[in-house]
Amino acid sequence: MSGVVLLLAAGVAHAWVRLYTAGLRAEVRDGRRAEIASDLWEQQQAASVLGDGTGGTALQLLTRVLLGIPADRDWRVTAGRRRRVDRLPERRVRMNRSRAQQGFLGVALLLTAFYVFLGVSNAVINQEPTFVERFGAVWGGVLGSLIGFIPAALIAAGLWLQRWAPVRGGILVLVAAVPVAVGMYWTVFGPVLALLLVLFWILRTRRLTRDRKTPGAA
Amino acid sequence: MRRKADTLLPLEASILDAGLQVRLGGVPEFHGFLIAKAIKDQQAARLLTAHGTLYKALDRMEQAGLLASRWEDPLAAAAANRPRRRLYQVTVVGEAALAQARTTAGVRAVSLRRGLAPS
Repeated sequence: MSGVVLLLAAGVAHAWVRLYTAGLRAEVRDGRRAEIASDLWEQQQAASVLGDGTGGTALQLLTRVLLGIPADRDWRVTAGRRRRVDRLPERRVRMNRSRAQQGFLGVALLLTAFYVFLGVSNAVINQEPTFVERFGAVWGGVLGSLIGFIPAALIAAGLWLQRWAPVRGGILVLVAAVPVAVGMYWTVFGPVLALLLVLFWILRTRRLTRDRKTPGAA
Repeated sequence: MRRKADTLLPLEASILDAGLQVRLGGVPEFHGFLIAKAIKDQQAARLLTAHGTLYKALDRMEQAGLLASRWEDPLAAAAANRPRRRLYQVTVVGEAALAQARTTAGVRAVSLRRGLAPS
């Protein structure tokens, strides 16, 4: 179990690096990814040699990732500016404030807030009975809260990613938002928002496609 | 926070200092995790420097000429059965910058003591 926790933590770190290096020039992107991969490997090896617990190592690893997020963001902005990025057509499209984009953003933020509320309420107020029965009050609350927090985090990541990669970012938002909302059909609020999100995404994608076909329109 | 030109941030000074200590210990080049560990040991900190903070600083310092880096030979990494390391070393410019920073810090400390001393 503890080995799995460490693998998960390393997986989160790798996924984060892949996310914030997406869209950069290959040499910059691959260099950064390789450097962090090496660091992660060295940290795990050092912990293994010293006989440190995998749970503690996983926590340290995640802490290093989380505390470095603002610096990662700054580096990404600088690295993107420093060299001329050979942009693909989809990135040439400026994300101006079309109504479809505003609607997509607004609904995505509402859904994020809804999922955060869900996570908090499962953790504190109304713990998922199934998880509580199976894993106990504490872990049941933690697992129940993840149902809300994980989609919220992924939606936020998708909204951030779409600044550089609009289509991929939008897809990440949809993948994070829609299945959970559909799974919680009884909330009504979630599925309605998810449906609106899909509609705005379709409108936005049509706009992007139209802009791409008429060069200089953006 | 705006920094004065030609000054080192505390982390940069720590990286240069740790890099020179590692070199004195017989390791001419260091990689990211090694320097993070060296800084943690030197400062008796609880946590290693965060990825983003460390690698952003290393990148910035290389751009400023304080560090030089190269990628490890892939065959060496493959033989050791690990990912390739990016190896850094402190340049002459980096050594000079650290010496300058220490001198400036010493002068400031003396001035402060004089300012606080009873007249």
